[in-house]
Amino acid sequence: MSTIADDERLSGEGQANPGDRVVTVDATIGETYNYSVVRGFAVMTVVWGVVGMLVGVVIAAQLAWPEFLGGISWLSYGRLRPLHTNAVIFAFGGSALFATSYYVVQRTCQARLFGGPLVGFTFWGWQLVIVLAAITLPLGITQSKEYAELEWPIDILIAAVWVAYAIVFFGTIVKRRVPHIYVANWFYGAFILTVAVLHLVNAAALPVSATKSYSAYAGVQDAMIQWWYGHNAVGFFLTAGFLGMMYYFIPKQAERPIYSYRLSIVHFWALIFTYMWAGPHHLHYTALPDWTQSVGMVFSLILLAPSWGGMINGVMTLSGAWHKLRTDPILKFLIVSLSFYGMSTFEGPMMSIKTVNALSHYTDWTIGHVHSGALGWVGLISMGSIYYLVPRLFGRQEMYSVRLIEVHFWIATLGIVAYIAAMWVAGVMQGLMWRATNVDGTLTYAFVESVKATWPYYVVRLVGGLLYLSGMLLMLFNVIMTMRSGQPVDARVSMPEPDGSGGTGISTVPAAAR
Amino acid sequence: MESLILLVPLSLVAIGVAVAFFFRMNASGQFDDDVGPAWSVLMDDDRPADRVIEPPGIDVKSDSLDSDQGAVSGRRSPSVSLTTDRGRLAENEHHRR
Amino acid sequence: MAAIVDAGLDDYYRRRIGPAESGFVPEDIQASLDGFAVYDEPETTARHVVEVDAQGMPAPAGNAVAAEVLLSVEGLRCGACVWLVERRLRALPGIVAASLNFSTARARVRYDASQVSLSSVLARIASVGYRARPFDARERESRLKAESRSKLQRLFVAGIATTQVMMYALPAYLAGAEELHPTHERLLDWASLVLTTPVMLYSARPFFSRAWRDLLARQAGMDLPVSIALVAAFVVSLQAIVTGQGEVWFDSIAMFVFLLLGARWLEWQARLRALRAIDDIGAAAPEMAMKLERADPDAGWQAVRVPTLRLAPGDRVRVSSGERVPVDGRLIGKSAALDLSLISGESLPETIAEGFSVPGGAINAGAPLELLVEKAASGSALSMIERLMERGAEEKPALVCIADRVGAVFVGMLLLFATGVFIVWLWVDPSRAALVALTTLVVSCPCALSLATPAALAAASGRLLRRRVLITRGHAIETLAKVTDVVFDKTGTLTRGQPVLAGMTLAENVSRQEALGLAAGLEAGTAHPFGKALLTTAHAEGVAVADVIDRELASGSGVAGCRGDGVELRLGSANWCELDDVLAARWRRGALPEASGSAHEGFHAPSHHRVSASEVFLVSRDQSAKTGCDTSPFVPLARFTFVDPLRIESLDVVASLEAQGMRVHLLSGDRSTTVEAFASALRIDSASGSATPIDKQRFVADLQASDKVVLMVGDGINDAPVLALADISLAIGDASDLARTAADVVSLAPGLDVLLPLLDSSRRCVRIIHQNLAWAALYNATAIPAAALGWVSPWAAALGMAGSSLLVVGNALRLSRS
Repeated sequence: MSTIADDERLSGEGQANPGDRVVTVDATIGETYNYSVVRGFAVMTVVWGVVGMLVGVVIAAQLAWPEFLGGISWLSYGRLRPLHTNAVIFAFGGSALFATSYYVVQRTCQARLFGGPLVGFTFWGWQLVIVLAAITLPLGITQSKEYAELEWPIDILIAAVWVAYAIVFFGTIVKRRVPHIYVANWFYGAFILTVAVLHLVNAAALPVSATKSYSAYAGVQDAMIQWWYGHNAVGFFLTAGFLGMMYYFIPKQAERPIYSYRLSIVHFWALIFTYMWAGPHHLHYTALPDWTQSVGMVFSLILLAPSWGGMINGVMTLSGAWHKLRTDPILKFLIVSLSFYGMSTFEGPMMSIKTVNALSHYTDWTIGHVHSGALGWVGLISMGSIYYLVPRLFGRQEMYSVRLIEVHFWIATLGIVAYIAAMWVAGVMQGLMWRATNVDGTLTYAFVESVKATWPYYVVRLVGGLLYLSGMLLMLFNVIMTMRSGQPVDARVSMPEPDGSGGTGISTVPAAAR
Repeated sequence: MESLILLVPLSLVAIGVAVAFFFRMNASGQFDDDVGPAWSVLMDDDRPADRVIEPPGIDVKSDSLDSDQGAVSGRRSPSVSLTTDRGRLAENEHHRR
Repeated sequence: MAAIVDAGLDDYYRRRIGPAESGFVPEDIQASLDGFAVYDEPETTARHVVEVDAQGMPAPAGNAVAAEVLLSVEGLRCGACVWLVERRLRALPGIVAASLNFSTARARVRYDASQVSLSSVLARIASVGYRARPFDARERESRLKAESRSKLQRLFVAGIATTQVMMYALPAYLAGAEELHPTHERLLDWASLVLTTPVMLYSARPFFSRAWRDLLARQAGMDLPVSIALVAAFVVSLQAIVTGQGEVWFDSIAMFVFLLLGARWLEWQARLRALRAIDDIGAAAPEMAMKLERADPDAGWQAVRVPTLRLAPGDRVRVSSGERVPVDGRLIGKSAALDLSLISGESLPETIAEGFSVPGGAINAGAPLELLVEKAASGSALSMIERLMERGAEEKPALVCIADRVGAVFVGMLLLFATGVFIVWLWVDPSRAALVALTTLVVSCPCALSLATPAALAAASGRLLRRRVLITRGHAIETLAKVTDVVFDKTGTLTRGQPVLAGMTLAENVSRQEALGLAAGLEAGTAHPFGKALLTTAHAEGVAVADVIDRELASGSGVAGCRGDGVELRLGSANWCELDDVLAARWRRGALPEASGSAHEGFHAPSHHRVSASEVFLVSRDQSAKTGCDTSPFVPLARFTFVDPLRIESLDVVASLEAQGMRVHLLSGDRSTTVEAFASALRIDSASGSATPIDKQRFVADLQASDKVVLMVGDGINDAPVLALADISLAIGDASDLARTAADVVSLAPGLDVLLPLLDSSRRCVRIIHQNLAWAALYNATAIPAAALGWVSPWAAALGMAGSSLLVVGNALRLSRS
């Protein structure tokens, strides 16, 4: 019994217009892809992006005008900053990863998502995590570990959601109809498994109340484990996962195969096996033993090779189709994100060299580096991928306004450049000022002088952030308008059809009516 | 560096798992063809269709986030979307094309 | 955003014509569909199709779920082809699974044998323009695949261990005197041990097993010093861990194994490509034989081409000169000369008498023979191509033999030297003795000899195989690199070997259509080259073939027949047509304007060729008025001239050869005037016509006497002795089986295009081998003394040796490119 009124069902037979793309439903295959959860996460990616970036803009303003929010404790910098990092990494980035991984795994395996209610749980559970973060962090409830601030009850929820995620993702791969597992899924899979281990190890804590716990580790050991987690979070959450995204959406948007599939396989294994020990580069010149720091430095440098291998693979995919960059703004997002990826993965190893780090540590250069990776690589690739997804999820051929995508791209890029340029200059300046000594060995500058000198750059950075946020707002508008003018559709899982459609089930109505 | 006492054995276990995984994948032929699969994603056409022709008599079940019954929904699923009620959707329809 | 899919699919579905490169002609689809039918023969399916169970493993009949066949697919140019073929196959009812591997061009198809046949699978693939054939080497393919996978696994384990152990080892290198707590250091050492043990026991096993084999055979190979070094280093490190004293070398061990395996893996890839290319070639079309049949005991024998597999005992088979005997049989006829070299290795032809047995696989070295089939074709018999390839593989090139010998000597001396170094250091500084000796062993690299030379040869022959050129004798490549003189046969080598109709002279009242129609009627069903040329022209011009009965063939002279109204016809030489010389001469001079011949490409013959072209006359006489023993003379109706056009590339090839400094000669059995005309057209200075086989051999021998290295290029039966005599010989195109057996290099592709790449590849191969040897000499001369003096640390030695290996193998693999 159809739950859709007849007048709402599009009268298909005999009324297709020439040039229409027509799907002939195969009565024997009753499976559609689960696009609902993809839709949910895709939309929330944009929403949380706006939220997270808004908080970022607020704290950037606070660095320039510390009291502009009137000293409200929940809105203090110390509490808002982790909210910002969690929102952009886990809410925005996490939702993007969920949305794209669910889409990619289904389409490349030609199977609907496995897991039944677990799928919905991953969505609602993750939203709950974010909401709880938005509540607890401003309240000052924190474990104080970078990118792992959330207290133990939320940690447990994260673990539960993550287990469900793993089951859904790997279950879908197990039930695949295509023998080969496309390389993007390898990246997603590694990201899921590694983040699970990282989370479990780093979040180990002894609860003393519902809102307070103590880390299982202490002192410099805790620091080591924290930055083993921290850098691998960057490496697997922010890199491997998004590389999976890259390996799918760039070929699809560019309509060209990955430059070298073999390289992508080698790239994968090289990356996951060298990322593990780069963590200590966050702890140069701290209480960490010197040799540990050196090991971190060496491996950070070695990491340059596999990272750039991936970048080259992605960028060269466009070889023979560079002209598409001129006209396709989505492709601009995707390819430019790779340039920023390359830049960050060069800058990072350079900064992990001890002598360089002696200048850059604790300065705003580090912030600049993080944001070139976050805004440039993670942000742009997520935006490009979501722009690719949304029309397909809502039955449209393209976004409501392609022009707006182009505007978004330029505003975002401008914002990024302003941001990181300001931070580079500020960072180097701070480093130089802090280490400047007089002839008699005393410091030339008082700390507050460096703060004063940094102020203008904080303003420029704020402008950059505002630009980036505006771009995100444009995206939110574009997505909403696309949703309004379309309707949610679930594509069918296609099987071979001897009907001239080559198995996609989709054929084009020729000029002479069918 | 006491943390090493945890991290080193942990990474050994992780390596073991990864290698075992590689062996299994290799045995099932995942690495036999390192050129062909690059094309497979391109050949999967995921663009939306303009019309859906459904054979009569198909049971159309509504689809939601929680359902994984192979719902033959084809065109719509009253699922999470900002435009919610059916009337609105029907109305929008006239505005399309 | 136009997707490839739409455009691509329409493209694919619109053009049901295969790509030209696969040589697949669309009009022949029907014919090839019939050709595919032969794959349904029980013998063929038994050979190629395997019953499998649900997991895809071969299963006995009871558990079998589907039939599976492995196909070699031609014409794949991009990954999109893979998708297309797979989809088309999967849409065929009865197909259970189909998967195509682009990088190996192999397709695995599983199907329900009750619903679909092998021929329909092949036809289905052909219908989208790709030619697929099942190939015999199914077991070999699974073995190759299994071997590839296990090599990859060993390499992977070694690679992972290397990166991780390096991480664990780095602290020890970087930490200052008291910085690294002993507990942590021990932890890292033990972790390194845990990771290196699989490397020793699993990844490095090929080194150990080969070294052991060498020891048992009392040879010294590259693996011996490597194995000794690995075991010694591991033992020393184990001791250091257990006693807590001394250094561990796990990182060096892991890295050494990884890099060496890497070099070996690269060489394996080259060999794999070559082996797969062989299998592709070996997957030839089913062999055909000429079966003789007759309607009734009084009628004459008709020759019919049938697949060899259909021959049954008692059948009568004709084997043309130079062709391979398809099955075991008994000779009908007085005697025959057989070349048994591919079967028994015996190079002299054997003469057998009537009634004696003729083994399948022998080559007919004499006149056409007929035999009575005794045993049906065996499904497992090797095709001739495979036999040729085996012969090539068995003969080791001189380069490899020398390399092996020098390598063995080198290794032996190295072991002695290392022992000497150990003893000397025991006297100088005992604490370093073991390490220095180990380092000396490790740093030496005989890899250019034992690894890079075979890799270069594999890469070169692999590349040639992909151009469908088979190296069937071991010394081929090295001799090709030294060639100074090239001797060409004319017919079939420089020319296409297929005469075309060049000109037609007609009698006054005879139209072109009539003449062609009569000629075609006489030559219908012929195998004669001139007859085929006439038929082709008639067909091309849409001429109606006259109905001719009572056809009679006079071998070497012509054909005769009768038209329905009693008019007798003859087509053939002037003698056969009973024309007197004057009349014939008048026709030759062209008293009547010559009708232009049909267009034919590549026709470069000079103008005076008219005189030297081959000719046949068409004559008729009206028999209805015959009275008594009077027969009226034949009236000439038309004169046809034929010419064997030069191959398009001949001119360029000859010019290039001469530009490269080689001397080109033309040897032919044809009339001197013809040969001279060709020679001047091709600008060849040295040409001899009217050459008998003995003359040709003497010519080549004379060249060789003056220290020239002679490459002989030919295709015919008469060329066989010369092909065998020349320093190096190439049989091209549709060469007879005898020529192919006699030649050192066989090209399966028609034409001379392969000649220049063949020579170029060979020269590059030899050059690269020399480069590698030079590098190896330089490296070893520097590194071994340095190590012996204690200047090199173990990890540097490992790195140096492995790096040198990779360098020479990488250099060798350059031959695979372009």
